[in-house]
Amino acid sequence: MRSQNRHATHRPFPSRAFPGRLAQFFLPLLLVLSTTSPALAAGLLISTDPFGGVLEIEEHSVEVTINNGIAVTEVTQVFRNTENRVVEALYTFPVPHNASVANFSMWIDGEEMVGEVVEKERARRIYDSYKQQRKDPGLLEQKDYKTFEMRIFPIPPGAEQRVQVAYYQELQVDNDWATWVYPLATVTRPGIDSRVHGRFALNLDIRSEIPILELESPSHRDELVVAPHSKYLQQASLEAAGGSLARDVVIAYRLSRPRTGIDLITSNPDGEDGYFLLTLTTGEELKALDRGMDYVFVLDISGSMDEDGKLAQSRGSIGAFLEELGTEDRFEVLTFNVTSETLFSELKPAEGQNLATAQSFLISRRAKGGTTLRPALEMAYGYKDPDRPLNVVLLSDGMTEERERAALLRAIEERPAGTRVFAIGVGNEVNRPLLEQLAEDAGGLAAFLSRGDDAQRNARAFRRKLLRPAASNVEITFEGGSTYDLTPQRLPSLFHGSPLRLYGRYRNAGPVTVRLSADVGGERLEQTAELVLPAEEGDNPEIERMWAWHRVQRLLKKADRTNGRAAVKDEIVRLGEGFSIVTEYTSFLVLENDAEYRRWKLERRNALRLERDRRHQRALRAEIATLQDKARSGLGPVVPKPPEKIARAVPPKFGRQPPARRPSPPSSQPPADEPSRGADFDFGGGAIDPLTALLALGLAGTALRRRRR
Amino acid sequence: MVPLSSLAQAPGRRSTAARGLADAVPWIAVLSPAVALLLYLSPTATRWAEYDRASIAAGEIWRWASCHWTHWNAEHLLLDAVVFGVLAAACARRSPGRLAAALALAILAIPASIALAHPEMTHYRGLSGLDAALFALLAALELRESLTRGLKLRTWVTGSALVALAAKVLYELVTGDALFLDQAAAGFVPVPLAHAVGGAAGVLAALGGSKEPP
Repeated sequence: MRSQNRHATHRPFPSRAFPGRLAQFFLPLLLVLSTTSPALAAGLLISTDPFGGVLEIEEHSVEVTINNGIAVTEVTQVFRNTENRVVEALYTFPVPHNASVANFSMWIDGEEMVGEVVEKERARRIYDSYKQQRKDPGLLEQKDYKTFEMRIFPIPPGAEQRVQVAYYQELQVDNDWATWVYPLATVTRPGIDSRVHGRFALNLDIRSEIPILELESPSHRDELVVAPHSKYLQQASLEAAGGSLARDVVIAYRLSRPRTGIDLITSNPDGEDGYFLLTLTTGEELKALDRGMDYVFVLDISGSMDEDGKLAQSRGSIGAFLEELGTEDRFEVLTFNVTSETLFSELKPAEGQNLATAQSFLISRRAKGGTTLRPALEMAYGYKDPDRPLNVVLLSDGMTEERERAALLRAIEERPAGTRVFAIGVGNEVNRPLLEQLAEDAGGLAAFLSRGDDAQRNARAFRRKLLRPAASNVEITFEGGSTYDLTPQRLPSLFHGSPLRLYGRYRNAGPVTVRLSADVGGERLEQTAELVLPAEEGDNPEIERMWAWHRVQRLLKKADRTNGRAAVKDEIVRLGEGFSIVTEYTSFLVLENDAEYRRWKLERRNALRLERDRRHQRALRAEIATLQDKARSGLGPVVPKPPEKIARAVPPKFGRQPPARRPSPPSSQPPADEPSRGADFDFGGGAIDPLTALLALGLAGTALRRRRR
Repeated sequence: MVPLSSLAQAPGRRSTAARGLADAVPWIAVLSPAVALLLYLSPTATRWAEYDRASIAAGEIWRWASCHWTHWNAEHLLLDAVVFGVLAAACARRSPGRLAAALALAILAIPASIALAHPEMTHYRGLSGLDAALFALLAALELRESLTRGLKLRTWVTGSALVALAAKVLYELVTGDALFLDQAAAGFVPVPLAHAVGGAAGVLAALGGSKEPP
């Protein structure tokens, strides 16, 4: 990669290069156009030479497999070098919330070369050694918490370059809606044309132990085609030819667990201890609290909120939220940049004139200045009434001053009793780690609104969570199975509609008793469930990486609180290399062929793991294909079939019900053909309704009176 | 509430055991709701007494019987206990022996039916299954007597009450929804099967055994 060195020196632009001159001339124009035309794409291949230029996106396909809330997104893009010269390109792509980059492949001489994760400095040394030899290594590094970059060279004039990125993520679940977002609207490099000139295709398969009630796209409502094969297996697809995709693709599906309970999925690879993911979900039976609450909406109006329509979106969200408040609720609105301003300077009932005044106040706010969040939060705490719970709802992109962070966390710790802080991250450019930590430390929740998301639905979801009794001090213990390395170690509060996930490992297969205890409505609730940890399980390889990724996140958080990154680095590297996860201390390295990997003594762990994951995804798609065939066979004219063919037909594993556009309401019973590994905490009761009681009392009264006579 | 002294003087020919029970009947009518109230006041005792499938499997078999006297919330307790007290008093006056039989049958059969038909149900509380047994017992006894005596109005009234209970339980069993009860607000899942089994136990106790003068 000699050219990379050459370009790194930024040598003067050669006068004979007409395309480059053209680029120089048109670049400012392009910048202007690109800001007015929001045609963006998730992964971008940008020429890094001084002539500039972006390679055209010929093809852009996204394959998503969601297995019980863990999404594996595989993005394949084909770029074409339209320049009349060899270019070196920088591949840059954003990664959504809670995502872990698990693979990067590039096609060299028509063959897919799968990368391997290597300790960051060693990867850099290997990469540098190749640069002198004009060979084709690739290096993928984490640029910041949400952006990854990789260099590719050489791309000949007119040639195509195919790249593939896979990332794993836990889907955010709010109010029973799980949301998957493809960040098309995220700007990784401002001022570049990233319009898809060819075909954009997205296919999404969802598999869930909890019944799926609805599947829709708030962002692409009319374009998305849904095939609900069963309550537990659904498919959606979206295709656009040569179109401009100006907004994030948001796909949401609603799950419903009629009763509070746990679901368990496991993975048990050969020769290793098993992995499990236990999900605790509240059911419909939890009673709503109907007492009034106080809300202080803290809106960020700093300069960064002017970008990307964040302020307008925040206004819309607060407006939607205010509409959801009850008349017994009271509220206040507080805006801040470097100073803070209040609407009423007291809490007012959420009704009539007060709501209208709030709307006018919000509309009059303009985004400008820096961000100083701590005084605003402290001002919000001042509204705490000893008799009522206070919810501070912060809407911000979290782009606060870095030096303020420690003071901010202290302010959270020192909040008055009975105060919860809920952080809503607005837009795609948002400091997720900060907002999540704020909410976690304050016993609240963080939610993130993407462009194209449904503000009204989010407001309803948030409001419902605030109302529903949150189970706090949640503890889950296991008897049997020899479980260890549970993550998270301290369980967060459980909110209605947002499952609580617990990852861990187990040494011994067999029955295990899960004991749950939590504070619900002021009472300590204790429940048990019997589950089985299987000796063999190959259906859920995703949870192995997610377990490791959570461990990495926990180590990083712990290190940041103690300023002791050095102590955790080795463990993060071990996890990153072992589970193929790109972190701040590990990078993806793609070499030209297998011999090069052997030369550097790099184990092909990722290649093996990827093959296993792909085998699993192929199996899932084969099941879907079987279901599709079955559905098709029911359409059109009835053709009699020979009896022997019918006898040979194999029922699909997930064929719990015939395909239908609208699935039937959920059943608490496990599907007949699929042993459930979950357990409800079913709180059953014999309840006499008032009418029957009246009838019984009447009958008894009559009998007693007659007897007395 | 019926005076305790009047319950102790319930008429009719009875065996020695039945007579002994008759003496205790007023206490059943009062003691049951009192025990339910005491259990409700102590969350620890409630958890110790409720139907907990895993704990029963682990040998805590008293929960099989004690679960009936545990409740999820005050509203749940209030209706269940009041109805039990009044129905038990009325049944004791009619036939203490059949009351004992109905209760014994229902106490054992309700958790058994839940264990068999609702393996997903981990926890159960409530006196209403026994209420259904007493309701069915009283209605069936009244119906039997009115049929014997040819009292048309009483036959119609008690028969209607019995049919109404059966129709309600059948509807709930088929649909899985509770009639006249806000499931979300109740804070637990009503189990119609408990009422069906309790009702059946009451009818069996009313119809079975030797004839007893009304």
